[in-house]
Amino acid sequence: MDSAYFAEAQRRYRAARAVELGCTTADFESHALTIADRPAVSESLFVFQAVTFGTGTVVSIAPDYREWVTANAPEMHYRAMFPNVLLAPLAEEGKRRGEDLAWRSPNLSFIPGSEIAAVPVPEGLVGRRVERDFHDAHVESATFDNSLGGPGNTFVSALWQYGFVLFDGDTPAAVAGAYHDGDGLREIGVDVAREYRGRGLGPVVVTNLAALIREAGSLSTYYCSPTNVRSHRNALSCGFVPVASGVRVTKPRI
Amino acid sequence: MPSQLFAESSAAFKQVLAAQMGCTPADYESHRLTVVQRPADSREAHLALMTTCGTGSVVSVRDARLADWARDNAPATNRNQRIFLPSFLEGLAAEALRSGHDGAKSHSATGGTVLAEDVSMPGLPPGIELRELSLAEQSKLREGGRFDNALGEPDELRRIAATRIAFSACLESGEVAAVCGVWDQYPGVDELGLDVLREHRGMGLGAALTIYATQWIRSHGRWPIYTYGFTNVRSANNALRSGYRPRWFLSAVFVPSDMH
Repeated sequence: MDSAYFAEAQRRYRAARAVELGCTTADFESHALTIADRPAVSESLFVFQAVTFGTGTVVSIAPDYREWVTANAPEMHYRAMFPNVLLAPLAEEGKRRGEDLAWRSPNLSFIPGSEIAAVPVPEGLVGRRVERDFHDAHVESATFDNSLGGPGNTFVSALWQYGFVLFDGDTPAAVAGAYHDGDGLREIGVDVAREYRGRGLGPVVVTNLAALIREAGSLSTYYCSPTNVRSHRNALSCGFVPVASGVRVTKPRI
Repeated sequence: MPSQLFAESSAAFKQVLAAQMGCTPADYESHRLTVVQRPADSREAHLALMTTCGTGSVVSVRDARLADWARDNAPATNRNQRIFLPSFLEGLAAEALRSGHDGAKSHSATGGTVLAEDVSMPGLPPGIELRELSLAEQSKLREGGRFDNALGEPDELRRIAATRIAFSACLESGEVAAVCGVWDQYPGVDELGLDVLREHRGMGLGAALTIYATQWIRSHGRWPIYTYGFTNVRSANNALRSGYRPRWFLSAVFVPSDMH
């Protein structure tokens, strides 16, 4: 790991998350629970979001639920991340108020530990950057829903920026997509078509896309569910390092 | 690419985990949900354990009625990891309560790692000494309540009885700044637990103790494992620095009094 690179990457990531949450970066180091008012910039993103870097937890909450969250906040800051402590009860509270709230499974957040080098494209395949026309041509197939978004999901579609694809002739074998993830951040989503799995193509598309993101002056981010042990290891093998854990409650279709 | 050591650690651990749960290692590769009865000789006291190594998932229960509930409420085949969602865990806990397991509740999720690399011991900060803690020292520190991960809480009798050794990082003054405990978790498998006092973090004591204890476990011919709560990013990174890589994930429904 390149300490200087990682420190700067960490600074950028924390700054972007603080803007999204409506807190200060110092709140991430407080070893306490910080409850922040959801900023206007995040109104379309979530009703509730909690993030921890392991040294304090920040909960960002929509104004209507601020009082409820404050009254139900756990004593230990990290317990705000546990689904049965705030997330599920908040969704129930929403139901009581006639609002349809959905909570998302927790995720792990990764950023590069050092400058990520693109893994060479295997012989027999062609790798290249793709743009919106590729996205639009393939999103409805639902074959690449991590890298292109799910069919009909206009919210995620709007976040999609560009991608890197390995082609076997005209057939996409592996796809990595870059999504807007806050100021200067691009989230990488990856899929390998079932018949091409087990050939190490995931790290090829991820690292090549990370290189494109870096060339554009942005920072790559990568997320996975903690239950997705294989995706977790894929992130590590590509040079990403876990830095945070997050959970969200949203309105449907976000 | 995965190392040879990771492949060996993974295979050994998966074999032991499957035996403890009552399934086969192949169930973890199956891309589906497997529901099994826990063997009578399993060391696991939880009412239900949900485990995955990344593809298939396994629900292992002590009470057959919970297996019926799990099968009736199983997620779709290609969504087998939804057993880790609170909707499933809380439902299973509620079923356990209905079945007479008073106090049953779900436990927050835990990530598990196995050794992938033999990392060399890093240099220690000046004045820091690593040494073995005597049983009397362990007991005294346990009572102080600042080293729960490493030594267990005073009422965790089962866990304390399984302790094989504990190491401390001490300051020149003799003050204990960090502790790493090692206990016999499964046959042939030792687990490490670590605590670094907040005022002494950032000195590399966590990784030094973890690597030191890992080498001790390896020298005794056993496999080390390292686990952490899913929100504990610092612990996850300590595992990575110490040569470990993610291997499995676990959630539980349990009765607290069963665990002591």
